[in-house]
Amino acid sequence: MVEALKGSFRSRRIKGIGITLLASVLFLWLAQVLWIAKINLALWSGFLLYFLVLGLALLNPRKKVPFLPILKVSTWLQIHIYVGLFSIVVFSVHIGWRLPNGILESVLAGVFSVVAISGFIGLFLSRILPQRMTESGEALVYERIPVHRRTLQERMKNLILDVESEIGANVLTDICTSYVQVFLFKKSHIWLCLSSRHRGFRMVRDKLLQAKRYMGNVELDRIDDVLDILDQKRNLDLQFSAMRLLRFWLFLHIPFSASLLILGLGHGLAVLIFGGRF
Amino acid sequence: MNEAIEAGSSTFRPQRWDEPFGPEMTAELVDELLEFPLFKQVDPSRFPKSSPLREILLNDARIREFDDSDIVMREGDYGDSAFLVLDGSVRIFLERLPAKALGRHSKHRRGWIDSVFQALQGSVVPERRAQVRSTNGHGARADPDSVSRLFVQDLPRPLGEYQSVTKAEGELFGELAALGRTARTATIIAAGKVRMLEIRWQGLREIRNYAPEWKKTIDELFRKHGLQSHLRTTALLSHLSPSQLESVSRVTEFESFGNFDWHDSFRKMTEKSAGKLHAMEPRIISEGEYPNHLILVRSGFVRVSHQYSNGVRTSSYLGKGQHYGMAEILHSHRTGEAIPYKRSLHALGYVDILMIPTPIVEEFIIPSLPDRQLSDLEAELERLDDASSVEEKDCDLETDEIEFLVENRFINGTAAMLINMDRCTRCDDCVRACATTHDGNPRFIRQGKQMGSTMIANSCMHCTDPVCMIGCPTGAINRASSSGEIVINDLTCIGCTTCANSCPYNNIHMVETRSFDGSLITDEQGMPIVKATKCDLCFEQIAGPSCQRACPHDALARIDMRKPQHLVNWLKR
Repeated sequence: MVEALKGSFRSRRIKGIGITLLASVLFLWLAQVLWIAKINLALWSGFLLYFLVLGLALLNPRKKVPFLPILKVSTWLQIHIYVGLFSIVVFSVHIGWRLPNGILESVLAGVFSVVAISGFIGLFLSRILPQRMTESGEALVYERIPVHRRTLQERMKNLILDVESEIGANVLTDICTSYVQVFLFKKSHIWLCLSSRHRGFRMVRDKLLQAKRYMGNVELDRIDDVLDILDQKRNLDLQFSAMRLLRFWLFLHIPFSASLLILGLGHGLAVLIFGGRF
Repeated sequence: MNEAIEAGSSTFRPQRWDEPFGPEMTAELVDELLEFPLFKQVDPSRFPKSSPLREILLNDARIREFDDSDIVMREGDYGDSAFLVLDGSVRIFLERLPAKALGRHSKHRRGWIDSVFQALQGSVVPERRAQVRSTNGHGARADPDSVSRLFVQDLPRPLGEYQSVTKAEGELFGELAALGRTARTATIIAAGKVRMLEIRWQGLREIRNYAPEWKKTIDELFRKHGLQSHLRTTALLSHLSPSQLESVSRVTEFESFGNFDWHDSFRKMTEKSAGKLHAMEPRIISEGEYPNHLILVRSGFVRVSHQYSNGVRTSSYLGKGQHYGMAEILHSHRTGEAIPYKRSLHALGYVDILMIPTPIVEEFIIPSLPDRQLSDLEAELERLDDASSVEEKDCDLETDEIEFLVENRFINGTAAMLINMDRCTRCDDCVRACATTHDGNPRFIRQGKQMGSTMIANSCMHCTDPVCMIGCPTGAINRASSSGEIVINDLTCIGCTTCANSCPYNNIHMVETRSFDGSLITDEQGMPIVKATKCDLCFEQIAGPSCQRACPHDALARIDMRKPQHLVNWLKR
C-alpha cells in the first residue's frame, strides 16, 4: 500500500523521459561507432529492435496474471511507454533514417508505424478522457449503459403520459415527443468525447428553454425533470463514447503488435537465410 | 474427510453449529461446567430456545489444556474468544515479550509455484465449490493437537523478570478483545499446568445478553482492563512512572457513547441532512465548556467540530489512541487564564472514552512532557484559535473532504479502495484481476460514492470497527490472525446474510454456489446454497491486493483511513 504513495507522477515522468533520452543518446553514439567500425549495424539494431518489441508485447500477458509478484502493471506500463519511445529511435537507426523500398520492409515499417502511432493515441486518450468523463457527471459502468439508456427513455415516456393525463395536449409534451425522445433514442458517435460540446443536447435543450414562454404552470413544474433527463443522456453519451474510444484504440494496437512480431520474425529469418548466415 | 459435491446433486443446508468450536465438548463436560460457580448462578431459563445455555457451551466453547510456559494468547493477535480458568493459573505480561520468543511467523501466503499453478488453472465457472460445509460435526472428534500450542523460547532474560500479574481459577480474561473486536492487549502464558474454558465471542455475547451476573462481571472487567491497557499505551502518558500512572488510572473516568450496534441505524441516518445527522450524534464535550477533562479515545471514532456561521463545521476526526483538550489545559496551566474547549466532540457510532480530570493532568502529565511535545501543543492551540476562515482546518485534508469521509464513516477503513477518476480509464483491469484471483468472480464493484474526482469503491474496507462480525452465528467472518484482514471462512459460512446486512457500506455480497460443471448447488428442498463473499485483500496471494497491482494507470490504491497523511499524499501525487 505504501508503495503507491511514493513519489509524484511529475517526478516519475521527468525520470522516465530523462532515462529514455540518455539511453537514446548512448544508442546513437554506439550506432555511430559501429558504423565507423563497419560492423553490420542493420543486423544488430534489428536484433535489438525485435527483442524490444517482444518485451513490449509482454505487457498484455502480464495483465493476465495480476497475482504474480513481478512488478505492478503500472510499472510495466511505464516501462512499456519509455521502451516504446526508445524503440522508435532504434527503428529509425535500423532503417537508416530513410523510407524502406522493399515490399516486406515497407509492410513492416507500416505496421510498426501503426503500432507506434496507435500507442501515442492511446496514451493521449488515457490522459485526457478520464478527466472529461469525471467532469461530465455520474460515473457509469460500460456494461450497464444500455440499461441506463432504457431507464431514461422509460422516465421520459412516463413523464409525457403523466402531463398529458393531467392537462391534455400541451407544449411540453409536444417538444418532448418531437425532439427529446428522438434525442434519447439516438446513439452518439464514437468521437463525441473529443469534442468540447454536444450539439444534439444543446439543440434540444435550447428548443425546450425557448418554448418555456408558451407553457403553463403544470408544464413549467415538470421542465426541470426533462432537463435532468436531458443532462443524464448527455452524460451517458459522453461516457459511452469515451469508453468505446478507450477500448477501440487497443483493437488497433494489439493485433498490429502481434502482426509486427510475426512479420518481424519472417523478416529476420529471411535476412539470416538469404544473408548466408544459416 | 470433506467430500466433494457431485454434479447436479443436492446437499444439506449449512447450519449454525455445524462446526462446533471444540469437537471434544460432550454433554458430560457441559454438566461439569454448569457446576462451576460462574455458571451455577446463571438461570438457564433466561436463554431463548434457539440458543440454550447448554448448546452454547457445547458448541461455542471448548476445553483447552496448557502446560507450563505455553502461550495462551499473544499481544497483537486479533481475539475472538475469552478464557475462563478452570484449574491452575496463568500469567498476564504487562510488558511486551520479544516477538521471536512468542513464536510469531509470517501468515500463510501462496508460494511462487502455487501462484503459477493458479495462473494456469483459470476458472470458467464463477463461485464453484468442491464443498460447501464443514463435516467436522459433533461425534467426529478432531485430533486434540489440531489446536496449535506454542511455548515461550529463547528469551533474553528469565520469564520471571518480566512484569506480570497472575490470574487463577474462576477468573475470566480475553473478553476485552473478544467483545471489542480488537487486538489482544497482553501476552498470557500458562503458569504450570492449566485447564481453561475458551468461549468464542458469539457464545460470550449471548451469555452476556441472557445472564445478568455475567454481564456485570464482564462489564466490570471490560472497564478495568480497557482503562489500564489503554493508559499504558498512550503516548501522552508514556513518560509517567508506574506509580504516577497508577494515580492517573485511579481517577480516570471511563465512559461509552453511542450504540454498540450503530450499523443498524447508520443506513437510515445517511438519508438525513448533514445538520440532522450531526445533531443525532451523542455529544461528548461542547465547544465553549470549561476543560474539566483530557479526553482520550480508547476505541471508535469521534467527530471534532466547531460552530461556523450558521452551521457546524467538521475540522478533523479522532480515532483510537488520539486525545483532545490537552492544548487548552496546558494554556490555562501556564498562563493562569482559563480558556474553554475550542472544539466539540461527538461520537461516531460506538465510542469508548477515557476522561482524565484536569487537576491530575496538571499534576502528573504536564510536568512529564518533553519540551518538543509542549511546543507542539502550543502550536495546536494557535491553529484551533484560527478557525474563522473556510480554508482553516485541523488536518491537511480539505474541509469538504473531511466532511465527506466523516459523514459516510469511511474513516473506519484500514484498506479502503480509492480510485482517482481523473486517471481511471474505466478499463476494468482491476475488476478482471480480482475475478482472476478469486475463482472467476470479482469481490468488489467499481462504483461508489465520490469525493471530487476520488471514488470510494464498493469494496470491503477491512474496518477498524468491523461491525459485520457482530452477529455471525458461526464465527465464519473473522480477522485473520496477526495481519488483521477481515476474511470469511467459506466452509463455516451458513449463508445467513447477517454480515451482508450488517455492513454499513454494502460491501458484502451473497453469491449462489456452483459445482464444477456449473450447475447450482442446492439443499434438500432445491434451494440454492448461498455464501457471503467480500474482498479479502488477497491475503493468501504472494503479491498482495491484485486490484491495486493490476491498475495500469496508478489510479487505484488501498488506503488506511486512520492515517489521513497517507490519503493526503495519495491525493496530491
